Amino acid sequence: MESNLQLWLIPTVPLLGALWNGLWGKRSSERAVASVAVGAVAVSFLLALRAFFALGDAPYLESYFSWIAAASFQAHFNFYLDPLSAVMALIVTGVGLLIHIYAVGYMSQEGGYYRFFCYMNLFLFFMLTLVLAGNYLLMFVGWEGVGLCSYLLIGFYFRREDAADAGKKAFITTRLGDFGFLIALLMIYSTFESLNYSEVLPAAASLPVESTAGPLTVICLLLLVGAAGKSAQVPLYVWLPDAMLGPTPVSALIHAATMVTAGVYIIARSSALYVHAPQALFMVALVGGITAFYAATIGIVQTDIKRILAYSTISQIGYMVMACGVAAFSAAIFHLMTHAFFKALLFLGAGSVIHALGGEQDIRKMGGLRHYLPRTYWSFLIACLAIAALPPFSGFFSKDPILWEAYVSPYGGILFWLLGILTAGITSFYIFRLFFLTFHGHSKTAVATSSGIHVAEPAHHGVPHESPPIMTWPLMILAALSLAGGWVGIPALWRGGDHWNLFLAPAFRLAALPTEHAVSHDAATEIIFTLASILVSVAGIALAYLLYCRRPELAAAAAARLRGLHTLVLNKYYVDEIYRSLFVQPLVVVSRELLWKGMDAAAIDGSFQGLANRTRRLGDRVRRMQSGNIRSYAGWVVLGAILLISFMVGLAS
Amino acid sequence: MPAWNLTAILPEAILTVVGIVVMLLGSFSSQNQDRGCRTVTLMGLAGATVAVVAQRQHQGAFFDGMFLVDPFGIFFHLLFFLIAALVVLSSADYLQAEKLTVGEFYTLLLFGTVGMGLMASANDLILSFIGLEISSLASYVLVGFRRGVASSSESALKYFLLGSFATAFFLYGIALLFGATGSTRLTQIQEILRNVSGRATAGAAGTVLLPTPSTLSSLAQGPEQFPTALLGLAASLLFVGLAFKVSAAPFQVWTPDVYQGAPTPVTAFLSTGPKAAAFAVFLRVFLVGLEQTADQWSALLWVSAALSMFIGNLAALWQSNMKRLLAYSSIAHAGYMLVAFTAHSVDGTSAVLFYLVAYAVMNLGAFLVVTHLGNRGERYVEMDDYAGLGYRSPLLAACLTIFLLSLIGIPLTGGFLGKFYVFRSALQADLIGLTILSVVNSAIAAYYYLRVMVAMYMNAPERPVPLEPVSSSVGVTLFICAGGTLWLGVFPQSILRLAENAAQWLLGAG
Repeated sequence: MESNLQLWLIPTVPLLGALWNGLWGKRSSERAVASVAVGAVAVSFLLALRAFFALGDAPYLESYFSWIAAASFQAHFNFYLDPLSAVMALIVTGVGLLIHIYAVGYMSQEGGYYRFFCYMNLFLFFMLTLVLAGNYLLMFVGWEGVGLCSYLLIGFYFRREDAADAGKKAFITTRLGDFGFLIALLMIYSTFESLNYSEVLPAAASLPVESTAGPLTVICLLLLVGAAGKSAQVPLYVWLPDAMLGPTPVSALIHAATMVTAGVYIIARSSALYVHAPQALFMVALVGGITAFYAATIGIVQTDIKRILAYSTISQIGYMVMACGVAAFSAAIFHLMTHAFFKALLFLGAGSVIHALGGEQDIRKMGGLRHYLPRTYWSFLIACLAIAALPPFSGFFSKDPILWEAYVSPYGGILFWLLGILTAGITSFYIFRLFFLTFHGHSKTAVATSSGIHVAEPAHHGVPHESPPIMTWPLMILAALSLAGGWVGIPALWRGGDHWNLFLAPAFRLAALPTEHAVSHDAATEIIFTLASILVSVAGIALAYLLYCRRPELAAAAAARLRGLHTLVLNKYYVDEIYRSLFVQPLVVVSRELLWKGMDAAAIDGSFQGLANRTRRLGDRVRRMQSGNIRSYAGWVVLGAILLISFMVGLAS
Repeated sequence: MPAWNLTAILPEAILTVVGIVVMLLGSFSSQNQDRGCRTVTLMGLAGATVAVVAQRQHQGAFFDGMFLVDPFGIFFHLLFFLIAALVVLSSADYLQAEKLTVGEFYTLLLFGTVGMGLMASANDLILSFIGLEISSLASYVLVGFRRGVASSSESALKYFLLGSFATAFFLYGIALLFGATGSTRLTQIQEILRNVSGRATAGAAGTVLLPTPSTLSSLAQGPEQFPTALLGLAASLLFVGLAFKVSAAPFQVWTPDVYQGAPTPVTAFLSTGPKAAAFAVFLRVFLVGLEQTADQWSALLWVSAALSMFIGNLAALWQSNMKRLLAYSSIAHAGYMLVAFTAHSVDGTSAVLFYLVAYAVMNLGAFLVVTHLGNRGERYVEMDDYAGLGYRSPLLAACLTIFLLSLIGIPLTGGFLGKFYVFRSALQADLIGLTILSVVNSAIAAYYYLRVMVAMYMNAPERPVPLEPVSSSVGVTLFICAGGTLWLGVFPQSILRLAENAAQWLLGAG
């Protein structure tokens, strides 16, 4: 590939959009703001498309300038294009573009229009930096940047105290993971003397497979910590459900389609390291499998439409992580792509529903909406069928290889397959529970509206109405992608060309399984497995239909029978509470009781401020000070000195 | 004494003379001569900077080895002059609004800088002490510069009493170190201790070491045995004095009160200049003089670093006053630097130096915004007063955002790379526990900086806070600080190379 692709333009164009709207957006019309923001993403998408088609066999590297050139440490600003980053860039810009268009309509009646699009464009800048970066340090720049934008956008409805808190929770939880990443990065440098993929990955591939925990295992586990934070995996997943307090397009773009999959990307990117650290790989599979199953069970009983989708996202990313864990990296990225389509669609559809109902998010108060929102209804149905993994929808083609690989891969096993297939059943159950409760059954909203429940905005929301075309068009495009997006990866078993795996193969060449472990394809077994997973999905849908359409009283009865379990799951296994009492509360107690009230003078001596504002006579002041805290301060110094001296002298003798 | 010896202290000499000139100018001229004082001060600093740059060609030990002109000292001199110049630029409006005497203020600032310069270059503990005293005395007066305001005088008195207390520890430490080794010259102490420990290991190996001419030379009049207990005592006393000055735990108690009560530009100065100077002495004393006992004092540093980070960050969580918040944050940042110091390696030392520069730029910037917004009488320094700043003054808020992001440690800012080098050096020195503690602390710290950002962008103002227009000098300083913060994040090479060079020199040649 000789041509100069100017990869740097792909992230820079959204950055310029963000700067433009940040500086002049306040004085511009909504139309101008939207044109700039959507235009920037569209240009970026076209550039990514060009890069995609220019892709050759070898990775393409563009180096701009040296960032850090210390004697003991080197890092560059460089971008790296291979099938993996090209696909990621296309997903990010493509889905990003559709969501931007949708947001033009969705956000039009909210305040802070320019601020919203400024943050969204800024997010795309960092996300594209993350996926296109040519080394781990530059990736970290994007990694931290998307966290920051996520924080800004979760707290977008800043008049809501809980939204601001949720933003902080997300920022700090993911930051704990980020430092796992940072330490991994430092260890990568000390192991390989470089941070460039083009040097680290071949070097890792030439190392022997670690049978016991060595440096590669430690690096991979630390990267997993980072991935778990950003991709909301057990045990760092707690921030994502709360993050749903942000505007719905944000949930769709950042907390479903792109940012939260960054963890999967980093594991796939580091696949050459992982396959040489089988113990770390096993942990990856375990974390993914447990997360997939665990989050799906919580999804069954939630009642907030966006929260159900949030747990569903956590669960689906768990699938992808599990796929990475069984070394099925291209299957993981395949599912990442189809998930981006159908999950974005689910969120945008949910947004359309919420929009139509004037802010209502509780699915128990919905019902019968298919008559009012036909386009939303049909597109939502396609998304549900896709996530439930029914053929020929995209989710089927991406989920099936994961289940199959979980069983046959040398890193997999029957445990992972079981976790996967159980999750598949639960997934199709909870998603159709959501679907039936929202769109079928009696229309509870019609009754509610006639009795004037939506007093907040009666003028706009008398009867639920379909969203404007600018919002439904993206829904329909995403529906088409959710249906057909999986066809690029139809495996040979179904007379397909297996194009996806062949296309991505160069990116995972260094992570190829040793030939003696090559998976033997037994067509008959594979067909049986596939039929089993289809059967499980259908069973889930059927059960949901029975419980929430045919015999609603059965659902209530079941909940009553299993009251203890139901309460436990409804309260999300009390994990938030456990974390609070284990980690947050001790910190708060130490900081507030000991340091703030105990040692900080201004807190105990409330008169400090008052005194500061008044001028008093010197005598007064000195007297107060003599009796005041100066002696206790000196006492602290002496105490510290005594401890120190006795330690040092004790050490000597 | 040959004449060229004077070139070694030329920067200090220039600043002293300019200081006296500014003092006279301030007292003999009318009220409207502020501008003149400022120009002369800045020119003096520029002259001193030129002198320092010229000194790079004339490195060596001067005044019988008491005073070193070396890359380490030069690095710090340049940093001090930058800090002083930024403080001078940013304090003009403040002094005018508070009706404070400009000449004296700048004079004290210059004299303080002279003391700091001596601290950074001193190879003799007596000179370090004198430098420390010069800079401290200037600081005490500066803290109490708002004479009419009770909190300012109170802070000054507190700082003075506790500061003298801590300096006494330092002085005792010098005396004991002299008792243990017979010298106050750091490089001599290093050599003596090396010889003694060499003998001790040789003796332990069972070899009888005959006195050689070199061990009998004047340098080796040291003790026969390694005076471990005495050295430990001396090290801990020196540690108390210096930890107090850098406001490291458990000697940080004075910091919040003093930082809150001092005039804001002085707080900005204290948290960057004298702190950096104290770090210079800290590094020289422990990495050169007490190099041989690193195993012992690194344990002290470990504990102090961990405590500083936790106390600083946890106590900052509940602060509502911006100056107090930044005071606690400054304790935490001293902790991060101590983490790199604990590594006692070239990488660790250069990490400290780089961090000092990054911290100076971002912290001066943050304090400048606080100064500007505080308005006359520092009335608006509560976090609530920052509500809605993002809409009322987008540029001011954007600058503060850059400084806060850098203080959090977000990439593309100097603060991130500073932390990055700190963690890296700690990890390379196998300080895994300490690295994890600092990582956890960085996550906690994000919380209180974010509170400020939430206030600026997400809260509606509760009481009207008047906004003065940004004057050109404040604007220029803000631009330098914000630009510098980003510059250090994107193009850190030049500063990094200087820091590395200085660190190599300190550890290699010492």
